[in-house]
Amino acid sequence: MRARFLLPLLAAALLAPALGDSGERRAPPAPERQTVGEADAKSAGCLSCHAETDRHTMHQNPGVVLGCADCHGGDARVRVDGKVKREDAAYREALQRAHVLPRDPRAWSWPSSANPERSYTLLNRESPEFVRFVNPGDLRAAREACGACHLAIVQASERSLMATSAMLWGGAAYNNGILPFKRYILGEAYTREGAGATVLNPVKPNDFLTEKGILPSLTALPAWESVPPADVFRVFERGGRVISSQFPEVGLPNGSGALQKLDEPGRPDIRASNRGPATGSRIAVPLINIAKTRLNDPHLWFLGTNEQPGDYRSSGCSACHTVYANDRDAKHSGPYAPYGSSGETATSDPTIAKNQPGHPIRHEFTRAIPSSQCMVCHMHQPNVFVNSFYGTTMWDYEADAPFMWPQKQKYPSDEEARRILERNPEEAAIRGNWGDPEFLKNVAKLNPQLKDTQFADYHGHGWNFRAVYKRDRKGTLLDAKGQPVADDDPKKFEKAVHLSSIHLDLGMHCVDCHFAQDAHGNGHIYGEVAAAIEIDCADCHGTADKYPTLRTSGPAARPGGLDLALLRTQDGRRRFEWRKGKLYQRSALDPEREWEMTLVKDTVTPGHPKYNEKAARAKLMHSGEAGRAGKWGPGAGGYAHSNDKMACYTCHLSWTTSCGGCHLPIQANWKTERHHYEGGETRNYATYNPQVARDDAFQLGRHGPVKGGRIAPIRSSSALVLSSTNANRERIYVQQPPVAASGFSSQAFAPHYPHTERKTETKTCSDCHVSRDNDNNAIMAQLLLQGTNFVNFVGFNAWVGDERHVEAVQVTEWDEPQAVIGSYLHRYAYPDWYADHQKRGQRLPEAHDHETSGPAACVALRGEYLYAAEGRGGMRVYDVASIANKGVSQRIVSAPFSPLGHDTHVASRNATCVALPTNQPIAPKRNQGDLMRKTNQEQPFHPIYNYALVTDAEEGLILVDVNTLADGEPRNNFLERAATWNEGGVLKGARHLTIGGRYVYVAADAGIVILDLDEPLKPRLAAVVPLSRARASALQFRYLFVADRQGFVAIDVTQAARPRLVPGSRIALADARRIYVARSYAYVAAGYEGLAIIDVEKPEAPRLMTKFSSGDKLDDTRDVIVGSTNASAFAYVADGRNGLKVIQLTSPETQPKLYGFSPEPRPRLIAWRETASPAIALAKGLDRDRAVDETGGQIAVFGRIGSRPFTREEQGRLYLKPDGSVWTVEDGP
Amino acid sequence: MKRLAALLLLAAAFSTSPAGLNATENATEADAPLPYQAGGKHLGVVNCASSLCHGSITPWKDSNVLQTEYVTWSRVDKHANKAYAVLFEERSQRIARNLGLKEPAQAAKLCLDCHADNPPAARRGERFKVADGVGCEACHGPSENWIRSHVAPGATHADNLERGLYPTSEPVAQARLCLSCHFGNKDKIVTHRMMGAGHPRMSFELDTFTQTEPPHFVIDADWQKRKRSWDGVRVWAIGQAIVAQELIDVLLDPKRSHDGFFPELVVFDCHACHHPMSNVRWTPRQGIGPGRIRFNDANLLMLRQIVRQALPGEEKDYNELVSALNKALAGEGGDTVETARKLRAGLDRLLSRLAVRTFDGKDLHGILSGLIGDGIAGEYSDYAGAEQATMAIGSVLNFLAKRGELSGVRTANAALDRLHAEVRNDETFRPERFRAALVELGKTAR
Repeated sequence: MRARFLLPLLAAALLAPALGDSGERRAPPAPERQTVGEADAKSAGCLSCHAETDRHTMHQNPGVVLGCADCHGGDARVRVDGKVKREDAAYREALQRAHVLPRDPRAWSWPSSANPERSYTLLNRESPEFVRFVNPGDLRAAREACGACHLAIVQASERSLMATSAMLWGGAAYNNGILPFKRYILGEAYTREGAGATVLNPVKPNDFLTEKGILPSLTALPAWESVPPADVFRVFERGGRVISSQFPEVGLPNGSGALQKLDEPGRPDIRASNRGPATGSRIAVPLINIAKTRLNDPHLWFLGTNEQPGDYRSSGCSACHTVYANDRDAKHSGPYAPYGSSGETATSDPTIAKNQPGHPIRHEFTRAIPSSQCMVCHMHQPNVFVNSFYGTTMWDYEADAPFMWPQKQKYPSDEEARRILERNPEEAAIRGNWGDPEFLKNVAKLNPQLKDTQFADYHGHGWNFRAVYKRDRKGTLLDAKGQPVADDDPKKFEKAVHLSSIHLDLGMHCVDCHFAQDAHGNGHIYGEVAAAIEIDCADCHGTADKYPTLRTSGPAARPGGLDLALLRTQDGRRRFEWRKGKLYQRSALDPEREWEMTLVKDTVTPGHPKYNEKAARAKLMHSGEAGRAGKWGPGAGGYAHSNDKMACYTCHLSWTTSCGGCHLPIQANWKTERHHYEGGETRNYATYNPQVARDDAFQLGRHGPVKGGRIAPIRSSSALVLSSTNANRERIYVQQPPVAASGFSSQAFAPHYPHTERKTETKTCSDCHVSRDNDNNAIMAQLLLQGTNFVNFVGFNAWVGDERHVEAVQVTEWDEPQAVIGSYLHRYAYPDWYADHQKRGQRLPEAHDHETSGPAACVALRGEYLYAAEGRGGMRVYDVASIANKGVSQRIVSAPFSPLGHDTHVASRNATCVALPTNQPIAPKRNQGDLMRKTNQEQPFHPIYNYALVTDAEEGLILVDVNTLADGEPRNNFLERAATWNEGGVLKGARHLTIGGRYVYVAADAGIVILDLDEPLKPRLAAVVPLSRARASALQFRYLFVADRQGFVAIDVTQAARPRLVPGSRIALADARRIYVARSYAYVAAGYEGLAIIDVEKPEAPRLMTKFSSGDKLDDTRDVIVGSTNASAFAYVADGRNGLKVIQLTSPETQPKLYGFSPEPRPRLIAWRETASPAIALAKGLDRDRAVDETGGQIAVFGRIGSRPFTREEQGRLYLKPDGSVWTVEDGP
Repeated sequence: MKRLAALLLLAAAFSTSPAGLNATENATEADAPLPYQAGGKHLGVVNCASSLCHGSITPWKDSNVLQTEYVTWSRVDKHANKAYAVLFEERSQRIARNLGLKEPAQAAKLCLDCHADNPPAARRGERFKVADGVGCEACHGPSENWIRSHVAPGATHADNLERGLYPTSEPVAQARLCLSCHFGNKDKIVTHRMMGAGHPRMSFELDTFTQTEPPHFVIDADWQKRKRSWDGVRVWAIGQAIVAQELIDVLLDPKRSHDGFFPELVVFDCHACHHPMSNVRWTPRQGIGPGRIRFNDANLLMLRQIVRQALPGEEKDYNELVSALNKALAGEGGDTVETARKLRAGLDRLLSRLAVRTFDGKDLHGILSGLIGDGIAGEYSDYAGAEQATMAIGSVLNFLAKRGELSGVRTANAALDRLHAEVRNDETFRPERFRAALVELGKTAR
């Protein structure tokens, strides 16, 4: 990979000549020192028009001596006579002489001084003199304007993550497989003249600095047109014979390229280039998103987009230090709330327009920066945590849908769509009411009328945010005392606890914890946000043993830490003060406010007025055997939850964000502006569509060494699926998850600090350990990142195995939001299409199939391949890459070239089922070598991840190495058996298998046969649980749930080799076929009894809730899967007689508790389609909350060097005694 | 204060030394209005505290001041940490109540005048915080008129002084400044009434307290070049002289010298009265009989040594005057006012002499042996005297050590520690033990 820009950051002294642009005069840098008289002379002319301003020097400190032109440049000698009016030509003439003039007056709406909307790279194209004139704090100008005093801070800011965005670019490059460097190498920086630049760390990082997360340099982002693709999608393989219609070939002996254009009707050549990688559209698509789709950016190098509440800000130093009106909520904006949310000024400068967006509130720098100013950038849901600090998360398009969608379906024109998407990249906005800026601005005013949620008053990026409330696991709202609040209580949102940070509730803002260095950086280059932070909870709260030192101790703290006792607020008070053994902090924003700090040591000291037994028990719980027995109190040899073992916020969070998926569909025909570097328009644009943003997933793992390897909460972060529509509007790949550079699935996870600290609504014992009532099996599965099968992604198609076919049934709209057809969301987002659907009798109109060689009794989808067990036909892998491509007549194919060029069939006598260790696309072979093992600190894959596992009723277990399907090379896809195993015939009659890490649970004649595949090619029999006609199983943490002749039963597989049939778990069902467990409910395809829903919250005492048949419409159910789309859960049922059934399990309408961890399902049949032959199997939706398997094998990529999910042994420490038996906890002391 | 200035000018006129010009300048500086009296707004600590100004964690290489002044003050200086905070303590609240103040201690002018920088509301800047205690401008003067100019290129100390920076480097000005609270002056003083209400006894010695403040400046060649040559002994001496003047001024002021029927008792030795009645501790000194209230002559005792070195010809007169004042005050005969006036005039002369007198090693040794000798002779049998002598000896030893003219610094330090131990607690002070410690010190410290 070669960067296009490798210019060093130029020192301010190296000047580019002003190329004759009128008005460009290079003003000398602002001096560090000057006399008052000298300074005044540099303001004299300016004041003849500007008359007065709020803070003459911007600085509140009167010791700062500056004139206007010191910072802004321009000609302060020009003055107007007092008699000249603003309308006079003389006024305009003086203005032109005094001001520095723009190169592109129209782009700036010159002579308006308001920040233009969405200016992005305009700053790079402007003259540095003009940039300095409009914003001396811009990083292109700051060395000249601010550098005399603040050079070190300016330089640190240039290298800081807020400027370089290295964490996003690096994460995107690594998680999408573009660059294999987990110590990131890309970042944004510009020279004074606006050319892309490389930034160098001031010192070359040695081993110690590297361990601290410090990087040697960051290089400019290469242009997307010149970077080879990393995605293993079929369109990026060699080929592209006919692409020349869009991509002219040169040097060929036929003028029109006609010889190449031999496209076959119905079998179009979809490859993206006829030359090598990084030509044509054979490029790294994620880079287009980085360059063009507004996800997190613009950042410090650019102005805010200045068009929506929450988007008003300047660039560089002024981006933070001059406050704009963005949010009317005083909790977010503090004293600035009264200035509204429209970016209007309250300056005393008579020349500044007062009712025009895009001006700072005052001409004044401040360190009293409200959180609303941070939120302008720190608002992206899964990555940055001002939202969660506020107790808000991204709205899911469903809550209070009637208010947010137009009554009449909108059909936006391309022009209208473009206009909205420029402001807001989420495609749903082009159909929703909030695409209208006037509606958007006042969404929060709807709150009194709403019944599902409450909206926040900021809308940066054009987004909406909903409040998160305290709920029990079933979703019932709870008040401060933990008492239920009725769903129909009109004051329910006042009574229920809003889960904002306790710090926010005290009146704190971001800058009350994150001081100068956390914002400016410490001068080193970092790639990870957490590594660049100097503050730590203990710095202000202390620990159970020690009072706080008021010295920062985070990863980026200077040696000895920053002395917090020296800090002062903008209004002049000391920030921290000890008084009579109590520690107080003064608000950075409110001169009247201070609060007493909670000191951990006090809360665990019996007899202290602040003593809290619950806190003491948690913090002083002994480690080891004593702790497992519940012993706690001071004096232990070691504490179970000590500060060096786990981050404070592991328990003190109330909820975490989990971005269960975003869809980025690229559109070749959308020509759009590049938002970085040289700008300019190119084709291709991807919208950005959050799918499932939940607040109920609490998951743990380990921080990397930068954070001491401590236990920390883990969030799902940006699990993406990608689609592409080419210039012919053919969908050349759909909803494909990428693979990370480490070969792990890109359904990414990362340790994080959720910023949702509470005192009462914290995590407690049974959130992380097996409860005495044994009612948290699903919670534990979630916690350990094994997944709960609840947020799984069943996308555009449901994949069905039929008696004689495999089949894809289209179940959602393609437009955004990709609502499930017939669902609650469908009704509001697409009222016309919903009505059409009802007119069709709820029949789904679109499906595609391929004949099989036998019953497709098991189907599994991974990437662009569908795996099917086909009985006598063996196991076959179908190419389904073109499933949504209108140009392709046979959308499911067995051999995309010819059987000679591709053979993904493995013959066997009677293949009954096929399973993959994960349905997330992975590429284990990438995860090798020193770069991965040592530099990137990645764990190896367990070898089982190389294989697909097939059960054969006669042959037993067959392993097939499927790695060639993940290597991007189309010429080696010839699958063969790697091993066949059936020792002693124990697998006779094998008909289903479930994989839980190295253990495989096979349903066979003998019952449930448990195999240990630690050495996959040498399976070992671990145990057999005799059962009569075991048909299928599903695994959740410690329990395997089985469908057999008698119905439903649970097996305790805590020790897989020592399984225990749970005596009281039997539920009789006449014809139980397949089982699917999603959180605390098991869904059983119960044949003619319909869909049985069993409450398995207590796996040893399951409870049959209902047998759902929707008035006999489900009377031959063979298989069932569950998935989430937006806020709602859906079940998909394979019904032998009636085809595919889509059932909405929850919706705002039927289940107001839908935001709970496991709301009770309220099934409703919403759509169906007959299948080509009787439907017997379904492919599970993409796992979105599974990062690790039950035996500790990592599946999904973790951001942050060295961080990872728990190993098997670490998982066990939370609930297993050394002898392998389970210990339990009670929440009360 | 005009009077003092006039005297000093006079002294300068008599002087033939080349330091005359300096003395004139000194006179101007020494006459500077104290920060609380000066015009201009107090803008607040925060303006100085910027890490780019005086709040740097590490000293700047290329600056003529450390730039860490705020950090030192904020971290370790009691003016920052204690002065104001102490007003919230129960003892302070009680004092305020006992005095019948309308406001609590932290709001009472009487308390704040010394426990904080307490300009009237009209002279407080937008970010001024009284809660900062004795902040920058309490000593350096209100910054409104010089904060912009003092950062100008080439700005000199003289420029700053001219615009109202308080001349803390001028010893008399420094002494007046520090003592304005640590002893009191015509505007503010801790009276016996306040002590009766619970205020602790005042203990101060200019040089010792400057060293233990600790200083947020370094007096090096550059400092002396920009300001003046610095002599710690002179500072000590001037400090003693100014306290003595203030004491005498109280005596001479018909209003301040009396509080009702009784004289203002704060000028007397506390321990003369404040001891259990069972403890009959009278010993003869200065010819004062038992049952008489003893003047707090600790500073006058220190001045004996200073006079001996600075005005050797007047030592005898001085000692007699001090003795006469003691006696007169105690009612042993003689005219208090007359004696006090004479002494006061002598002190003025001494001060003017001190303004130009430098002290060499010989002087220091003389002062040291004088202090030890007087102590052994029983002159410091009162606690206040012993305390002052201990601090003075500490300072002199320090000066000698710095000059490299003290042999056996470590043993001298150990002996000094023992001396300090004797004066650590005024209520358990035993003159004979103090004397024994002095004898030991005398053996080692040379």
